[in-house]
Amino acid sequence: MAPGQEKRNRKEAARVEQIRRDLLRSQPATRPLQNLVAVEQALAAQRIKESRRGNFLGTFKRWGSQATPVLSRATQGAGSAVQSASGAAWSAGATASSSAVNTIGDPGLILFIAGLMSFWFKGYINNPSLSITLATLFMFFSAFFIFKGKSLLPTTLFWVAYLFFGIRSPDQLLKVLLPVILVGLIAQAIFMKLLKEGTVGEGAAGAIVGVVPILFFFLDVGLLDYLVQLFHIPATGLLSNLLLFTPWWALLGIFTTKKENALISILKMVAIIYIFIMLTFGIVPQAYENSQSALPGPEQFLNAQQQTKALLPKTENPFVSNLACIFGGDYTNVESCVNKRQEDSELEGICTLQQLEPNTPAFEECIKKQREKKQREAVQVTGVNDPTIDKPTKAEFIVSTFFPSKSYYKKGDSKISYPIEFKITNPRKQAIRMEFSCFFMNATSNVSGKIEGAPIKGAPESFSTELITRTVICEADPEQDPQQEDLSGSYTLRYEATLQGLTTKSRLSRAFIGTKETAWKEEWIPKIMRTHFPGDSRFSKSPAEFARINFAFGNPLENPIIEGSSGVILSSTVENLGQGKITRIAEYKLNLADEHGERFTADTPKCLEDQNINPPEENFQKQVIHLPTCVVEIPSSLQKTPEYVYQEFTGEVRYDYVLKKEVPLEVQVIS
Amino acid sequence: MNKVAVIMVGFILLLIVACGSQGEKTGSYNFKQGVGELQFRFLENAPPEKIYPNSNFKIVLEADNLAAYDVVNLQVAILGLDQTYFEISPSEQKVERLVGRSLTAPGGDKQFLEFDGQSKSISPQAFEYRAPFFLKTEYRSTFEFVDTICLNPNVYAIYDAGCKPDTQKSFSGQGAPVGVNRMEEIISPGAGAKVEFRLFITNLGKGKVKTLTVGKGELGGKPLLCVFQRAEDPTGKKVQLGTEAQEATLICTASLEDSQSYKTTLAVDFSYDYEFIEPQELALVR
Repeated sequence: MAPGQEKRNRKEAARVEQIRRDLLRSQPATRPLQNLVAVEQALAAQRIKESRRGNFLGTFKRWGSQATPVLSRATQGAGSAVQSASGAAWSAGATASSSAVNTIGDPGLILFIAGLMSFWFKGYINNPSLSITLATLFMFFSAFFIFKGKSLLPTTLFWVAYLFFGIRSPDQLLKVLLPVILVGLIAQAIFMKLLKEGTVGEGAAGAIVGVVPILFFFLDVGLLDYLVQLFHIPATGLLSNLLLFTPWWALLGIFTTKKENALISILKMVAIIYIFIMLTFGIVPQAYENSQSALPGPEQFLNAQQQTKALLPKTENPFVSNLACIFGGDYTNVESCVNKRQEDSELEGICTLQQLEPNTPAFEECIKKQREKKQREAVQVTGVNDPTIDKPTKAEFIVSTFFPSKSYYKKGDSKISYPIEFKITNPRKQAIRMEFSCFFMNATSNVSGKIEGAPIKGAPESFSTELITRTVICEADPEQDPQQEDLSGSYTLRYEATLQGLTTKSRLSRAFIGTKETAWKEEWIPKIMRTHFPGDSRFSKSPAEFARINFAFGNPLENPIIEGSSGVILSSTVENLGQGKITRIAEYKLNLADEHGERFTADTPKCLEDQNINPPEENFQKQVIHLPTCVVEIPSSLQKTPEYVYQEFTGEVRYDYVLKKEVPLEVQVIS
Repeated sequence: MNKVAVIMVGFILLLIVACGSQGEKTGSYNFKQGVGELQFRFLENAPPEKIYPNSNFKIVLEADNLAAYDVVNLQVAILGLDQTYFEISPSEQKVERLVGRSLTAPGGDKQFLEFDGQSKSISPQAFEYRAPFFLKTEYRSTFEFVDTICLNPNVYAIYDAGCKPDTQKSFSGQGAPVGVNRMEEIISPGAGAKVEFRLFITNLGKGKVKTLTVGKGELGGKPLLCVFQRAEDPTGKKVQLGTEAQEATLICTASLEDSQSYKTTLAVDFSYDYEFIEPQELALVR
C-alpha cells in the first residue's frame, strides 16, 4: 500500500472511531448490546449520506477497506444482530471496492493447496470439462486475489475472447484481442489514477501482470503437450518431466503466499528443489520448428495433453527417484542411480501395459527383452516437419450434428444408422485404398457393427482425387454373432478406417568435403554449416503426415559434413506422427546415389530398402519403428571433391495406416 | 581619388583570386589511398527472384575493380548448388585482367560474367525450394606503399635544423583491400647508423588474404631489405595470413650514410592472393 494511502486510512479510522465514541456516549448505559447495534447503524447511515454528497469514489473505497475489520469487530461484540443491521451497507462497499481482493487472508496458500489437490486428482479423473473449469477458476482466483485484481481486466478480456468467443487465429488475436486489451489497459491505468491507487504507468504494469494467470492457464491445460504434438519434439528429458510432473497452479501459489513460517519456507525450498531436479534431470529439447498454425482451443490442448501422456512410458516421478537415490546412501553416483530407477520404472510400465503380473517369470522375461530392445534402439534418428510443404496428406472423421447421440429403439424397428463423415485431403493425388469397420463397446459387451453400402471386406475402395469425402454409416450387426443382442444402454461406437498404400517421402541434405587440410576445414565447415544447415536442416524433413521415414548418415549421424570415404553410418526409423497406428510397412527405400547415379553400398542391404514389414503389436502405440543400422560406402565422386558437394537424398515409406474415432452414444429400448 | 580607386581595384582582385575555385580535383586525385577493392553484384533479375521449375535463367555477375591496382587471374565459381535442383554452366569463369582505377581510367575496369542456369523439378508436395550457394572469387593483385619519411641518424645534434622523424605513423590504406595501416621508424644512431621500418599490414577489405608477398623495397631509390616477421618461406618474402588474424608485419632495414637529418621516400610494393566468399540463394517456386 502507498504511504499516502496508509495515512489516509489511519486518519479515516480515527475519525470513524471518534464518531463511534460520541454516539455511544449519547446512548443510555443500561442496554450495551442494543446500544452497539444502534451506533453501528447510525454510523452506516452517516457513511451512506456522505457518499451521496458526492465524495463517492474516495469515501466508498476507504469504507470498503475498513469494512471487514469493523464488521468483524461488530460481530464479535454484538453477534448476529449487528451483522444483520450493518452487513448490507458494508458488503456493498466491500464488493465495489478494489480492497475486496484482501478479503482472503492468504490466497497464495489457498491456490497452493487447491492446485496441488487438483494436480493430484487429475491423475485419476479424466474429464476435459472439469479441467477447463478448474483452470478457469484458478486463473480468475489468481488474477483477483493474488495479483490484487490488477490483472483482472486482461484476464477477463482473454477469457471472453478465447473461451467465450473462440478467437483463435493469430490474425483474429491481432485484429480484435490486441486493440481490446490496449483499450482495457488504458482504461485500467486511468481508473487507477482516478482512484489515486497509483500512476498511469502502475496501472499499465498491473495489466501486463495479467498475462501471468493466462500463461499458467495455458500451461495447466497442456500448452507444452500441444507443442510436443505440433512440432513433434521428442518428448524426452526436461520436456517429459515438465509435462507429467509439474503442478503449475500449486507452484504459482507457493511463491505468492503471504505467510512466512517454517512450513512455508520448507515448502518453498521443496518447490525450488523440485523445479531444480526437474530441470537438471532432463535434456534440452530440439529447437522448435516455425509454424503458421492457429492457436489451439482448450479442448485441443487437453486432448494433446492426454495423447502425449498416453504415448509417454509411465516412469517414476524424477523427484521421487532423486530422493530415493539420495537417501539410499549412494551419494557418489546419484545420477546413474536416478537414470536406472527411471529406466526400470519405464520398462515395468511397458510390461504392465502388456497385462503381465509383476514378480512373475513372464514379467521378468518381458523386462529383459525390453531392456535389450532399448539398448538396440539407442541409435535414434529424428526427423522434422518440412516447412516447404504446407499441404500434407490428412484424414479425419468428423462427427456431424446429425449423429444420433441419444436414440430410442423399438424392437422390430429397422436398425439405427450412425453416420460419420470421413475426409481425406490428398494434395498429391495418391492412389489410396480405404476400408471401414465399426463396432459398439460398453463395459459389459461388444456388439459388432457393419458399414452400410460398403464393398465386401478385403476389396477396399480406391481413390486418387485431391479431396475425398465419404459418409460412413454404421449399424449394429448382432446377426454376426447369435449370442449378441440389440443395442441397449450406453456405448462407445468405434469407427476404423484402414488406409492402404500411403506414401510419405523424406529428404536429407549432406555436404561432402572429401579429404581436406585442417585450415580448409576450419574456414569452410562453419560457413557450410551456417549456409546449408541452419537450425534443424541437418535432420531429414518430411510433410507432417500420418507417418514418415527419418534417416541420417554420417559420423556421428547428426553431422551433416561427410569427410573422406570410410566410417559413414546410416540409420533410419519409421515414425508414427498421427493418432492412429501403422499396421504394415509395405516398402521403404532410401535413394542414396550421387549425381551420376552411382549408388551407395551398404554392408546390410536391408538398411537401404526392404518390403512387407509388420510392426510388432507393441509398436502400434509407440512413436518409432527402428529399421536396420549399417555402415555405407559413398560413391567415388563424393569421396574426393575439389571444394565440396552439397546434395539432397530422398527416402520413402509406403504403409497401411488405421485411423479410429470413438463416439459415445445412448440407446433406450422402448416397448 | 586615383589612389583609392587603385586600392579598391587591387582589393577586389585580391578577393577574386583568393576566393576562386580550387580547380578540378579529379586530375590530382590520389587513387592509391583508402580502401578500394573488386566488387561484385548480380544484375537485376539475373538470377530472377523466383525461378520456376524446369526453366532456363541467367546469373549475370558484374565485377567492378574499384582498387587502384590491376586484378589478374580472377576466378569466379558458384559452389554448393544441389544438382538435383539446379544446373549451372559453366560453374566457374576466369578473367585474365581487370585494370584498376587510375587517371586514365578513373572508374576502373568492369566486366560482366554470365552463367547459364537451368532449374529442375521440385518435389510435388513442396511450394518452394531454397537453394543456398556460395559465390567464390579468387584473384591476384598488388599494392604499393609510398611515404615521405624523415631520417635523422644524428639524434644527439641539438642544433640540427632539419626534419624530425615520426616514430609512429598511421595510414588509411593504399587503395587496395590490403594495406599498410601503421608504420614504426626505429633509428640506431651513431657510427654505422641503421634504420628499421616496421610496416603493419592488415586486411581492410571484405574478403580474405591468402598469401602476401613483398616485392621491391626502396629507400631514397636505394634497395631496402624487407622480410616478414614469422614468414613461412626461407626467403622471408612470403607470408600466409591466418583465418582469424589477417595481419602481417614487415621489417625493412637499411644503413644510413648521411650524418644529418633529411627527408626521403620509402617505397615498398606487395602482391597478394585474395579470396572473397559470399553466401547467396536461389528460390525455386511452384
